[in-house]
Amino acid sequence: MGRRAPRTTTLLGLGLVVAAAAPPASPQDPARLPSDEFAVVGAALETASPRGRIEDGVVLVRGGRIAAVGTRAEVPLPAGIPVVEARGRTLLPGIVDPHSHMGVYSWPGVEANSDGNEATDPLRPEVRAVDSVNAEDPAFPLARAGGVTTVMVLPGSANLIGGQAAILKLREGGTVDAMRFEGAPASMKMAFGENPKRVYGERNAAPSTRMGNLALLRRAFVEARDYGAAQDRYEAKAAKGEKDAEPPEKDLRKEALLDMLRGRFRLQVHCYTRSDILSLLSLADEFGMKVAAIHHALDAYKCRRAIAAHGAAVCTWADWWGFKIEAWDGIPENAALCQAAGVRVCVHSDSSEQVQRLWIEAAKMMAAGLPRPEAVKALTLNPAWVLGVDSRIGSLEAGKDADLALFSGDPFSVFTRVDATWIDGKRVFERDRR
Amino acid sequence: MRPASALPALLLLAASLPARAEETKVLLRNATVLTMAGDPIPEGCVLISGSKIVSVGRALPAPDGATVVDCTGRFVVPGFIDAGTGVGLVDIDLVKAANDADEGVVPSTPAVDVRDGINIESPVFGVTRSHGVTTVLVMPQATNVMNGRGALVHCLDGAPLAERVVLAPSGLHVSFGEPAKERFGKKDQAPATRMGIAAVLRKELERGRDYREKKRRYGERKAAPPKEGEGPPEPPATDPDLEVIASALAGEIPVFARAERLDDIRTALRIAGEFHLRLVLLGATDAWKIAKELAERKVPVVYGPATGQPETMETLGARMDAPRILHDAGVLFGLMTGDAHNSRNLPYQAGIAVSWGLPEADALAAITRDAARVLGVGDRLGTLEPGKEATLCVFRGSPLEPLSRLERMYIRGREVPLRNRQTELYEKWKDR
Repeated sequence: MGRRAPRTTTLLGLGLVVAAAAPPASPQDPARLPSDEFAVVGAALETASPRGRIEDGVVLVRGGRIAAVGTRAEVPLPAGIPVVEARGRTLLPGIVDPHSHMGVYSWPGVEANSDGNEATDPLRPEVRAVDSVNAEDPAFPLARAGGVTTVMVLPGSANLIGGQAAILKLREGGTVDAMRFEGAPASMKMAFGENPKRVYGERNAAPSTRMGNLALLRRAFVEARDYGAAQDRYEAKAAKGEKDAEPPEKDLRKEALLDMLRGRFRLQVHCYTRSDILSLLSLADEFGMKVAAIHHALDAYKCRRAIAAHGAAVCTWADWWGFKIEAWDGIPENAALCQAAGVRVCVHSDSSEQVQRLWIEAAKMMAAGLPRPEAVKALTLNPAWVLGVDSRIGSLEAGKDADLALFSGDPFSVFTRVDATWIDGKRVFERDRR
Repeated sequence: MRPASALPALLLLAASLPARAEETKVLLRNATVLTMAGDPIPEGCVLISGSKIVSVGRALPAPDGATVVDCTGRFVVPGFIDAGTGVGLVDIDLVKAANDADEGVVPSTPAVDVRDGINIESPVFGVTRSHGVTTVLVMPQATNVMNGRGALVHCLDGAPLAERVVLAPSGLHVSFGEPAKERFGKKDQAPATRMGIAAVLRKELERGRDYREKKRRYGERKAAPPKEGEGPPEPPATDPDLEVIASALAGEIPVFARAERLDDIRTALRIAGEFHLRLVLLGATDAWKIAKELAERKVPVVYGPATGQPETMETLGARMDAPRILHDAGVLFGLMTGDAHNSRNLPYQAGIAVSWGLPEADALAAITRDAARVLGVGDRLGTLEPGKEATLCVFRGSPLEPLSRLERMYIRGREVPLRNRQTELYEKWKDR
C-alpha cells in the first residue's frame, strides 16, 4: 500500500473528499486515516441533543469518541486533521434498532437458521440470544449500509420469557464477541398476548389463554421470590457461622427470574393490545418491577398516559397492522400520540429488511404528527435509552462514542441514502456510487 | 378489450348513479400535472366529465356548472396501481376466518376466482387508499402450482364488487419454486420438486389443449350438415377448470407466473413458449439477470416487492437496484407490494427504487402507466389523457415521499373520501 496523501483523497468511490484542514501539516499516518482522528465538516447535524439541529456543522472525532460538536465557528479544526466534506448532507448519530432478530434468524430463512425461539418451555429466562447469533448473517452489513450502528437482538416471542438480549454494535470482524456492546446492561425479553398462547395452546399445553399467560408468569415470579428468600436465609445462617447451613440448589432459571425481580434486567416486553399492556403494567407493579420498553405496542395510543406514568418506552413500527388480531387497531399516529403524552418512542424494525431503511419509517411517523426532533430521537437517543446505553451513544455530543450515519440528503426523504457509517470512529460502510 | 363479464358492472354503475352524474364536471386547476404521457404540465388543468378525463392542458376554461378545485402547488397524478396484492382477501393474516387468499389445498385450482373471495367490506381497501393507491391487482396466494384467477379492482368502499372491477379475470396465476414444494413436499405429495411443479403444469396445460381440441371438433361437427340417421353431435362436458386453462391457451387471458430464482424464470419462459401463453413474470427477483433478453422477447414483469431481500433460498439474487436494471434494459414492468396491509406503501417502494438509481419519472410510471400496460388496461388507466378513466390523486409534495400528503382522490371521476378505519380510530382516541 502506498502512502495516501491526506490532502484531497477521495474515500473509495464515495465522493467524500478528505481534505486536510489548513494550514498544510505534516503527512498523516495513513493507518490513522480516518478512524482515529477526523472531522465531518459542513453537514447539517441532527444532534438528538438539546442543541437540536445545527446547520453547517462540525463533528470532531478522536480516539473513537466524539471530541467536539458545533458550528464551524464553534469548533476550530486542528491543523492537518483529515476532513470529510459533507456539505449538503445530514449527519445523525448512528441509528439504534431496539428490536432485531438479525443473527438469530439468519438469512436465508430456512429451518437450519431458525435460532430465535427456544420454544420448548414458556419460561426460558436462562437462554441468551448471544449464543444463537450468527455473526455472519448477511443482514448485518446491509443494516450498516442503512446507518444502523447498534442493535438489540432479542429472542423471539413464542415464550412468556424468551431469554436474554444481545446488545451488539455492528462492528465488522465476524465474531459476536467483537460485536458485544461492552458495559451494556442486561435486558430480558418477555411476551404477552397471542404468541405464547398460540404456540403452546396449539400443543394443548399451558399457556393457552391470556389468563394462562399471567398465571404462569405469576407462579414463576413467586417461586423465584421463594428461591431468593431461601438464599437469603442461607446467607444469614452462614453469616452467623451456622455450620449446618446449606445453600439452595443452584437453579439458573430461578436465578434469572430473581434478577428480574431485583431489577437487574431491563424488561423488553412484546405486547400489543390495550388490555395486554395494562395487564403487563399491573403485573410489574405487583412484583415491583419496571418495564423498560413495550415493544410493538400497537394499542399504546389507547393507554399512553398509563405507559407514561410507568415510565416505559414504546418501540414500534410506523404503520404495521392487521397481520393478527392483536395488530388490528394499529394506526400511523400511534407514535405521535404517545410522544405527545410524554412517552419515549422508538422506531424499531423487528425485520432484517426494514432495519435497512428505518429513517423512512420515522418519516411516516412524522407524517402522522411526530415532531421532527422527536423523529430523530426515535431513531437514536430513545432506543439508546431503551438499551440502557444512552450515556454512551444516541446523540452527537462530546464524549459519546463516534457512531455516526451520514445521509446523502434529508434523512426523512425516501430518495435519500446513507453515504457512510462509522462505529467507534471506524468507517464500517461507505456507499459505492460508481 | 373489455371482457363480456364487465358489462353487468357498467350497467350497475349507471343504474346506481343519478342520471345527471354522468355529466358531473370537475376542473382541477393550477396543478403540476404529471400526465405520465409526456412532460409534466406546470400550472396545468385536468377536466373531468362523468367518469372520464375530457381534457388536459394549460389554462382550460371552466365549463358551466363545473366544480373548480384549485390545486396551486399541488401535483396531480394518475391513481397508483399495485400490480399484485391480497387486498380484500386478507383482513387478518393469522386468522383463517378472516383470510381467504389460500385455496392451495390441491396442486391445481385454475377455476378459483378471487372475486368469490373478496370481502367487499374489508377495511383494508380504505387504508390502502391513504397514500394514493387507487387500484389493486388481487391475486390468489401462490401456495400451489395453478393458483386461480386474479382481478384488477378499484379501492372503493361500499360499492358492490362488480362496480369496483376494472378487469376480471385479469389472468391465470401460476407459481414456480418454493411455495408449492413446501406445501406438498412436506406432506410427501407431488409436487415435491421443481421438476414436479413443471410436470403438474404441463399436465394441466395438455389437458386444457385436449379440451380445446374436443370443443373445436364439436364445433365443426355441429356446423357440418347432419349425417343421415345421426342426431345432433354430443357436446363435450363442461369443465370449469379446463375452461380457464383453455382461455389461457387461447390467449384470452394472460398467465402470471410467480418465479423468483433464475431457473424458475427460465422454466416459466420455456413452458410459456411450448404452449404459446401470454406470459407475465411476477415477483421476478432474478429478472435483472436476463433483463435484456426479457426486453427483446417483450415479456412484461410485475416486479416486487421492490424492497425484496435475499431472505429465502430463491431470493438470494435480490438486489435493490433491480428496478433500475430492468428499466435500463427496456423491460416493461410494474411494481407490486405482494401484500394486503402494506399495499399503501407502494409509492414509497417506488421512491426507494429511485434512491437506487431508477429515474423518478420511471418509478412513477412503474406504479401508474406501466403497471396498467403490464396488466392489460393501458388503454383505460395509468395516464392523464383525454378519454382515460378519471382515476387520479392530488398530492401536496412529491407523490412518492412519505412526508407528502394525499389531499384528494378521484376514482372514475368521483371524489373518494380519505376516511378509513384507522382515521376513525385516531378520531376516537386522540383526545382521550
